[in-house]
Amino acid sequence: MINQLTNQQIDQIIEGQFGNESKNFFGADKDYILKVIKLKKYFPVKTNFFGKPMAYLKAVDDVTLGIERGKTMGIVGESGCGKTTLGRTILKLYPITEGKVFIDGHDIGETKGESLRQLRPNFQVIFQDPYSSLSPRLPVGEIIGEGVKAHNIVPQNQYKDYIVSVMEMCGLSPRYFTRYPHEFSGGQRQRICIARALALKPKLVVCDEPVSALDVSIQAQIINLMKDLQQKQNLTYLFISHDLSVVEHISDSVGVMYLGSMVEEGPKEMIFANPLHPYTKALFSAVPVPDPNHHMNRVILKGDIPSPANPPSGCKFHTRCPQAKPICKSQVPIYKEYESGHKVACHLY
Amino acid sequence: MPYALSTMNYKSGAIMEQNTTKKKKGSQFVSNKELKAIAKSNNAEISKFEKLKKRKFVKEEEYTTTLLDESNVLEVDNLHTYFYSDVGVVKAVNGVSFNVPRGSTVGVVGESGCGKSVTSLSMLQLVAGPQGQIVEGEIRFKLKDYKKDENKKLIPIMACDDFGTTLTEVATDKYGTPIVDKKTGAFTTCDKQARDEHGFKMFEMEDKTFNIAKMPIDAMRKIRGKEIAMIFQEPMTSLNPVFTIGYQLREAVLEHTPGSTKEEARERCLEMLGLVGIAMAERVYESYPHQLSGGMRQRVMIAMALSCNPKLIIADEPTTALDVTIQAQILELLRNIKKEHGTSIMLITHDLGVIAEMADYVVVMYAGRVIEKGTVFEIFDTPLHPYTLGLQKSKPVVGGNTDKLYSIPGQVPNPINMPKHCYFYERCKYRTEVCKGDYPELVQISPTHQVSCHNYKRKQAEYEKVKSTKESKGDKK
Repeated sequence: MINQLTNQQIDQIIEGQFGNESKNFFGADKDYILKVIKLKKYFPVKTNFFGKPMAYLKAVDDVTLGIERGKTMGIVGESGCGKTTLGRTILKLYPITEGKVFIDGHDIGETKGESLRQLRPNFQVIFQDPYSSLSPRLPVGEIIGEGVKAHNIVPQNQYKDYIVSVMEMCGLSPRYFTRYPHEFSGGQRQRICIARALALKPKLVVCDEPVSALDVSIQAQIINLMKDLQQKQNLTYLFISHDLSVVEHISDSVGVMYLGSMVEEGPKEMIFANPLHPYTKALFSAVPVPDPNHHMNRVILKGDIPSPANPPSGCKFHTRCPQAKPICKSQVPIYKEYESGHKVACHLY
Repeated sequence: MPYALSTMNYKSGAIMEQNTTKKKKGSQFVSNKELKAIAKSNNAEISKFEKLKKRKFVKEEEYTTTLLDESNVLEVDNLHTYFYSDVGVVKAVNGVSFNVPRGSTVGVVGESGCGKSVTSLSMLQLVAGPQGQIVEGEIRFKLKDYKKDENKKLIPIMACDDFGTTLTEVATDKYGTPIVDKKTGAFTTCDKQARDEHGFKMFEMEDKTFNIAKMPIDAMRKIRGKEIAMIFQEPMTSLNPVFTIGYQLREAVLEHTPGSTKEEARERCLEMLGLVGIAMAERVYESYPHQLSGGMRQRVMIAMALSCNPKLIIADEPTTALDVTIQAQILELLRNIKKEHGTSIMLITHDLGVIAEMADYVVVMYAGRVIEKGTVFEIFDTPLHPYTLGLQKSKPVVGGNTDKLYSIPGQVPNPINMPKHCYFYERCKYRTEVCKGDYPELVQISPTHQVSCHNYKRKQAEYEKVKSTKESKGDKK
């Protein structure tokens, strides 16, 4: 059995490696299930003659965040800003370049091999595209049951009953047990994906754009299902999406990412009522409102997101920022607390 | 025949056993004998339509019609597009009619699989044959066509000075080099042809109205890209990866403007790329699709659609694959184009926010039929069909706090063997005995607002109640 670290031990490790500041980032009295400290994920893009990497693509650059048990954190941002890479690095689907990840008292960066495999049921993932993330050759019962068998979640004689109960919980009829994924619609497939993740009784679920490939009416069904399951099983979600209205609906706290860094983070109410960072403002104003009588002052950003292999100096957003000042070009803004729980990285504050 | 095979083979599994005996008689089961009969009738139908299409000489009178209302650019009237599949006929578009007025945006909303995209593909005769066929109905489109003389040659317009005498210029061959008389060594001269504001040679034109549903393929090529342009859903898959952006852009210009050279087309393309907000137009012109980002590619697609000054742009989910910030840029661009060029836009999307922002008229489709249409304000403020209401409720709104989202129960019915009653009957919250009868006709509520529901009066009365209470409150104040 792998020994679980206590909160005090984790705090000691953080203080030893990153100093007091990082330790104080997390509230002392709160029960965090996920702690991410200064996480970096660089991909080599250019190698020299001997195969040594010369240039890096900084997909995730210095991200610090924490999620309390039973809560949902939403991550928003443009495509290519590193949302998905962040989710995958937390699950150690990619090796960590630098920084620490603690899930439920386990140092994920240090865990390897068999012990990591034994931890896997605790953190599961729901992928973006339900059309490509299910094996076309396995029937639904086996897709959901594969992990259950591998990790011995239930005794063998109860296996079938358990799978059926999971399927019913996710709104799938038991008669789908021997059907194949191609016979299902997008919404049903996403239910299969959710059932596969939840069959392992996870504590943390990373949802990587689970509803962006679905229709509006199906979206509502899946979001309702995910909320119900969270209440029943006390799940924690890291919800990655570019749809702000969905994130607002499901999350307790929201983090906004730009070019691999977190630019703003805080409780949902604060972020949506009072967005501070110019990028967050632009992002929120770009959401179309389904009401023809509504007229809004839109901040339209010019140009595209810069390449993460060669990010701009200083504040990464200064090339597109409508409120950029000379200082933004030279100095990297510090990620600091503006009001309790509401953090922002911008020179304006 | 995926359905037939799958239902026949699934007999294993303890859980399945209780259901298999009942399932065999279910609506989805098709026996081998039935399959053969379906294939036979399909072949007969398909060959009938294909023969009509493959005729070499089709008289123009056969496909010319007149518009019902001259202020429209395009009229779709009772369109039926069917797919002859192996398990039965799928009526993807089943009696759709709507108008696209000049200079306005028509939004088409609906779930995936409701026939939005097939309607737009029918407008350009791009439905994948031979299974997909336009069976019935008219798509009337008014355009300016080149006039031809008896020898089927274009009639050029000559440039005149103020006194009416034609001007002369040095004659050139098709590459733009001057023709030299071999004997004398002097340049040959000819009458100068008039050029339009883009520098292209002008020919005589006339107004014509065509029925697109019956047009032969070679006549159709004049309309595709020139009069009706389409922006496809995924910019990743609709650009050819082995040709440069420039090659793909100028292809349409060269095809549709007779007498234009490569350089003229290049100028025009660069102008278009500038218009859609691409800063380094010349660099993009030389680059390949994979070198551009998603937003840039979508803008190239829009530039391609605009390059021939089309009267109608069909945008099939132009922003679904893009982020909100890029989406805002693209929508702004489309709005500007509509304002400046007076282009009509048909916008297909399932995002109600985009529709509310862009459209003047809205068409709501469900299972291949129009269930409600009207102006944006009518559809968003006083929706009458339960499906329209459900769609609006199920979209989460920023700032709108609700614990549970409304979701329409059930799913779209099987497109093969559609029921005779209202297609929405099984999922409808307000169904009554009347709904079990015939399919409801489109009822005219106001000059622009139409709805296809038996119980529309129930909701109408509610709105009037709210309206009257509001008015009475206003009087008191």
